[in-house]
Amino acid sequence: MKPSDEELVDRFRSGDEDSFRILVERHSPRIFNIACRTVRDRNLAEDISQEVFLRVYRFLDGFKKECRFSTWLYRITINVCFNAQRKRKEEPKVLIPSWEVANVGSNPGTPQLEDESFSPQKTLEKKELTTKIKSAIDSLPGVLKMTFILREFEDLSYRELAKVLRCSEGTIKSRLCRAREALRQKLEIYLSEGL
Amino acid sequence: MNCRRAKKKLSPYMDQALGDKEKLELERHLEDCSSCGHILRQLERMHSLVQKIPMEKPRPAFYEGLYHRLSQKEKAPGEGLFRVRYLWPVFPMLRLRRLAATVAILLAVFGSSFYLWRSLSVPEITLRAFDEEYLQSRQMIPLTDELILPISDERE
Ligand SMILES: [Zn+2]
Repeated sequence: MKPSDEELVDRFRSGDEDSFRILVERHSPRIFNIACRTVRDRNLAEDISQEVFLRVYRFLDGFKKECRFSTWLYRITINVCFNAQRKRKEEPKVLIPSWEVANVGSNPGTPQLEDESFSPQKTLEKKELTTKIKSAIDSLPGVLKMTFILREFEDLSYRELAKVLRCSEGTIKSRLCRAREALRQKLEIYLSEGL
Repeated sequence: MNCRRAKKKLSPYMDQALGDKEKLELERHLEDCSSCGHILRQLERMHSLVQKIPMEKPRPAFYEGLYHRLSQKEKAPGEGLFRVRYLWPVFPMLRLRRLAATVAILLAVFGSSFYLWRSLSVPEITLRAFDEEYLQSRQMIPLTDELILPISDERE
């Protein structure tokens, strides 16, 4: 049976460094995914994820188990993502997200929306649509974006979201409603029936 | 239920976060109102498109970089033993009993005063530090519309 996060935390605290690696391998894809959705820049997302685990490593002894490890990890992630976004706003030079550039250059085969057909025209349309959706999500204000990302990509319940983002479930409900409405209005032309 | 209220319920409806009564009221409204039904279908289509965006995976270099950075970084205060542990294999090679004894005494003195200091110092520093930083970052971000609740004490 796989050890729980909390068991791994205990083992790490008593000196077992390998437990930390297991925690990294278990959670890094998720953390990286959140970072990618938040900043839309693969390099920056990797930096963010590394920073998250460096902080976890540094502060794990102070983790008081007031909440689950994953909740604590999400909080750190949100924190580091917000800081990164703030810094990005302070340096408004980057116009094209290097995410899109990196995608074309280093990994041309990266699927966009899952393809059922091989029609180049359709693939291109789907790629464009993926980019449009990502960019619409990116345009959401910070907290709305993070709430939406954690709900849609991490499938966190309202209760978990309220804990991670430290607000009431009512606030989560209203933020998701606003985020989705904003996205719907932005993407309306792509959402008509029969497409 | 009017359209304005119904529109606010569509998002929690998709998340199955409505109570039985609200859900029933909304469904009744949707039966009669094509405009709200249209918005719901758009939201559902958007959800399915978002779900189709493939998950991003970190490159292998990410792990190499991370483990390299980790090997260079010390833990926060309180983990003195972590580094000392790696010195032990050195002693049999050196065969310097006097040095070992001196180091042991020094360690005992520094170690005990360190642990005394630590036991007297504030234990909750890290989570608090995060909270403060978190709140600071919050203040910089527009649309901090929600109440920031204190850290919950509950256990799961
Ligand atoms: Zn209506």
